[in-house]
Amino acid sequence: MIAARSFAPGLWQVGLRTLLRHRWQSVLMIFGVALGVAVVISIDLANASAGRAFVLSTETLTGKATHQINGGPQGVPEEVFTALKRSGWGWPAAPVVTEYVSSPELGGQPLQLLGVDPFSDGAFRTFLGSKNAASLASLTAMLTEPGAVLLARPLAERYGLKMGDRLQILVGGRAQTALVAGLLDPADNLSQRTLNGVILADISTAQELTGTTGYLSRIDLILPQDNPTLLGELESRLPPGLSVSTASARSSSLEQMTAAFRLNLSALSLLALVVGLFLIYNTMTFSVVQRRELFGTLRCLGVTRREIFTLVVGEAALVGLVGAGLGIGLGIVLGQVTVGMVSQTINDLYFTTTVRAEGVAAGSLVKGGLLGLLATCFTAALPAWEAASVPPRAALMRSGLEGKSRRGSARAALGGAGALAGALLLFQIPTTSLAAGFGGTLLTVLGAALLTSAATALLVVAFGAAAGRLFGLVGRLAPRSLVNSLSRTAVAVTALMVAVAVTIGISIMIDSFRHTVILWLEETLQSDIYISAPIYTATTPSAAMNPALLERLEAWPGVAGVVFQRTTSVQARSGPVNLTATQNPRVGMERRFLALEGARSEVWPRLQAGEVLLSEPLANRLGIRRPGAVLELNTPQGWKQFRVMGIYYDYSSSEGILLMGMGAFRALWGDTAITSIGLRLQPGVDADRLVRELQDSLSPEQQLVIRANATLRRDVLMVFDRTFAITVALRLLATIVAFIGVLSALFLLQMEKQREVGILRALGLTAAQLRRMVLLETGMMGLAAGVTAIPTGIALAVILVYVINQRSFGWTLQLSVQPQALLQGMLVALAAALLAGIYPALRLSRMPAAEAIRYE
Amino acid sequence: MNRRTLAWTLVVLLAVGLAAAGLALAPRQKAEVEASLEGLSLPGGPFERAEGPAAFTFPKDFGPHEGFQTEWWYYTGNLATNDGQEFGFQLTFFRRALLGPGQGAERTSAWGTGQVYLAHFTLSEISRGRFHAFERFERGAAGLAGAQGEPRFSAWVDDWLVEQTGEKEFRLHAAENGVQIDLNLRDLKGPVLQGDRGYSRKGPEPGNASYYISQTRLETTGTLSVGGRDYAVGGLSWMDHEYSTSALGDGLVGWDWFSLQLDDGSELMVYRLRKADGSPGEYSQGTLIRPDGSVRPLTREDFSVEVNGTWQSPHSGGVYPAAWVVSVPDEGLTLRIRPKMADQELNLSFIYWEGAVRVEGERNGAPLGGSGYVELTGYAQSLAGRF
Repeated sequence: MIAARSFAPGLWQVGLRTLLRHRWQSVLMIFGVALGVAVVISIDLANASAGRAFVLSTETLTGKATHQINGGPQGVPEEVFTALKRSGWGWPAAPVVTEYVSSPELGGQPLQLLGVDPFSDGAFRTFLGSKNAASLASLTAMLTEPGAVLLARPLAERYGLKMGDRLQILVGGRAQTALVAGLLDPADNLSQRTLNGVILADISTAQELTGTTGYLSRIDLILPQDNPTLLGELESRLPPGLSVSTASARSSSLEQMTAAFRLNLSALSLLALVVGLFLIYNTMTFSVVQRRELFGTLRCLGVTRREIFTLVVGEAALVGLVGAGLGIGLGIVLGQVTVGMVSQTINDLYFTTTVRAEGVAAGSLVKGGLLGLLATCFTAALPAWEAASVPPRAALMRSGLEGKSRRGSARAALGGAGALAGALLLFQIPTTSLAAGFGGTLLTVLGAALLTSAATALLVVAFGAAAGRLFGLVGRLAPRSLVNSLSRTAVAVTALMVAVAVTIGISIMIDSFRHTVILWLEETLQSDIYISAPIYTATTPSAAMNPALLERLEAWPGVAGVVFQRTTSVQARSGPVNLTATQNPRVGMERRFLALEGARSEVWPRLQAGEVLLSEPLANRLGIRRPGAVLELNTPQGWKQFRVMGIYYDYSSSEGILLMGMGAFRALWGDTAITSIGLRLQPGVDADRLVRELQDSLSPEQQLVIRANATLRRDVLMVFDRTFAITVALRLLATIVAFIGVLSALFLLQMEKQREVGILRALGLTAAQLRRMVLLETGMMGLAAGVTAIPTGIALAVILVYVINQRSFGWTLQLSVQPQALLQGMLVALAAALLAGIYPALRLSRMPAAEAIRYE
Repeated sequence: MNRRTLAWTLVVLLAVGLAAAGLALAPRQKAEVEASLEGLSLPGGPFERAEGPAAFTFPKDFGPHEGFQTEWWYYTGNLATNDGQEFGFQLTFFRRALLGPGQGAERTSAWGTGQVYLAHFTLSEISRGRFHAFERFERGAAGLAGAQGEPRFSAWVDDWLVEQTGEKEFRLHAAENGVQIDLNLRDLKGPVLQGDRGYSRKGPEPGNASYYISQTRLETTGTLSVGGRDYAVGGLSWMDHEYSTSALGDGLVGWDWFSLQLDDGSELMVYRLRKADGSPGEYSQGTLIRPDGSVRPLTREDFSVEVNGTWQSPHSGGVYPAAWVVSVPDEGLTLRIRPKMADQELNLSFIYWEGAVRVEGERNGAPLGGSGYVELTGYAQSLAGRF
């Protein structure tokens, strides 16, 4: 806009006219930008929404608490709170009992049951009105009626519940009767969204509903910041097994874990934009080449280089602006889908959010829009510079540029090799930095992209001979025609290559992951039937089952053996850690080890002796690389040391699991709860029939999830596929952008060749021959893209599997390259190119020779 | 599209972009949830009522009577250091039953209860004119708050407590925000049954009454801390234990209550139940405790209270009486009563004035001094329906 002052007024018209006259060209460019921006925005929206839902689910419920007292598996004994209060502890403290529950009367969704003490909670949360606003009379039912719960009025109204109504609450499969003892009127929108995911109750009721009488989930505290003496004094008052942590510790550790996931998505979404930019670059270059004569003439008329540069960038800016605007709209629409997908994945992998974040984050829209606009302008800078450097006289032929392009192609190839070498070096650095990982990935893509032009030229030359023999005259014409227009075709081929390579890379990565999980399931799932209580959370380990169940199951006809586990959360120095105590003596045989001290047969005796195993993600998280390390856990008998005897592969939890012998666990924690049971059946017993039998006779007491081995395996893979749904969708979008790129590039290319085609037609080439020639040309481009995409895709897969995944999630995957993925990529490239060639081929072949020559 | 339109379009787009950016960059506030509650109405009751004189046994009847809706234990006292620095204190435990006897289901959680406790703790620094008042709410469960009569009497809310340490000995402790009392009380006269053998009528209906027991002369020693300093103090305290169900009759808005410890070893308790127009209700009464512990109940006709001055609270705006003449003509008693300091208003979840007072006067012409506590309710807000 500054340039506008020093700008000959008529020149804007030139830019605008160009865009308007080449309507299709402009529309495709705009569409390319729009789609790229839309993908970036939709992913950013999904990430922002997931982040906000998390904040709403945790921070809002944490209230003003600065610290929390956390306990072991069962929580904090309630006497601790009483002792604290009766000892004259002067800082605000409030007990909390919380659990995820669901209610058929409330749509069966996971809801957070939050048990609070109205007498001490006012300092923390203002759910019941600001301080002392709720009268004792209005609290009476909540305090005294068994099963009394409070619901947000909008939630109750949505499900037609009224004051005094009864409802069922399912906690860990057990159904309890509750009573609507009050309705909460949220003060604002945020409060409403938070409270719509909450069932509020008095702490006594929450204990009774969740069956945790005697225990609190935690004690919230408000302490002055940075007062280690006070913290020390508090900790010295607490019995062993309890610890004080900052209220944000848990949420920030969860946020850290999801950060990697979200960063991966953002990186993937940027890829769609990059592919879109290839398209811009391609089209702008093309448009510059088209207008060389015009620019030459303009220069002769006294238009400066700078003005020409501004003109071209200005055109791009207009395209970028319209494209970004369109992209924002499209992004919001697309966001509707991605928000759901990302939330689902985060719920599957990390934590349960009971709150749906609503509305659209303006920040995401601005970011995405600006990104699209700026990227478009920057991308156009190169062609603009090209246009500006047209010498005034040089309304010469294109051959100058083509010659330059060939030299450029050699330079690009050199640059590409350099980028690849740089990537290789970057991956040699021993770091766990995800940014470095993505940097290397980018360099790899860039390197491969820069090499594509040279590779295409080589391929076309190599293919040329064969094509001549196969297709005769047309076969000889097409490759040469292609090589001569490399300046414009190379970019399209590169865009297609990048998209296809990404498709291949991601396919291989997902295949490898799936393959690894299948192998792991085979090794780990050795029982015939699995039983657990239903849970609503991905990370908080499951609800307990009745221990008396064990005896019944052992005596059950057809059951040969019973193994069981207790999964819970315990405190390590670094924060909460998920612990699984097992009583399965064959555990050493049923795991695959990354590192193990001694033989597999020693695992069980050493577990019984108090040593522990870590799953790979946990070992990564704790920075433990090899066996022999010592880990400290807070037990009811104080901090105890545990020797790590091995690290095993595990794909069930991204937070990781600490595996312990049941005997050692029970001796220290005195906790006899059971969270999962495995049954081994006698030979010849039908697992599915037994599952039905168990369901029929056990479900009246507690709703249990009883699954045969095969069913569990299928369910695990279903969740797996669900978590990758968003990745697959993104991959598809990148391909669509690339397809549009190729379509527009080929379309423009062929249109530009009208005159040549006319001459060919005049020389006697038939329409059919012409069609074949065009299709052959585009087919070769597709082939070139496909062929170069295969090694690039494999390289990307290797990086994704061994670097990005490892650094993001701490999982080691086994690379498994399925030929289908490669073939699929190749087919996509060919199909895209051929499809893109159909319309130009038809149009050119129908055009009478005379008109074609007369063109321009 | 001409150039002007294009320029305008760009300007508008830019403005929209900037506005959106501004929105996006606005600092995020910490999310806080707020709501108000409409609770299911659940009238408690029926409760027991004070309907006639009852027999008391101690220490059992020092303890709680949960079948009644309301109960309180009031400790007030005038203390001084050896060098004459004066203090007044109040430590009160209120119990409120949400459910009548037999109402409500058996609960498995230790937190489940139908009893709620409230405690007030004040300290008047007479020489500095500073008044400190604190409040605690707690459920009467999980050991957080409660009261018991046997084997020894105690009542507590968190770490604030009164507990019996010997047959006639009690210990008081309360602390908050740097203000603390640790006092040992010795009952010099034994429990005094107010009204008709402890049955204290507050209205014409048989149930408009309370059971009312006092310890009127509690010799007190101990320490208190305030303003970063500890003081060894001594003096006299008074205890009132009262329980009832809707004692305050219709048309009454509050009461003026006097507990006076006179230098000749006698004590005087009188209260006036006040109607909305300020006139005394007919069930106003009192008790005179002679030095030997013998008791003379006083009816409304036996005594008079004359207000000689007022004080307006700068906190609540309530206008309180601030100087009185209490006379018991039969006994030849004329007592002039003044607050030791004006501002002893408790601005807590309910507002009332409760403060240390100085007594000057005569018995049959002979000078008689003393000190005590006065409670004035219903001046800043009506207490009807609360007790």
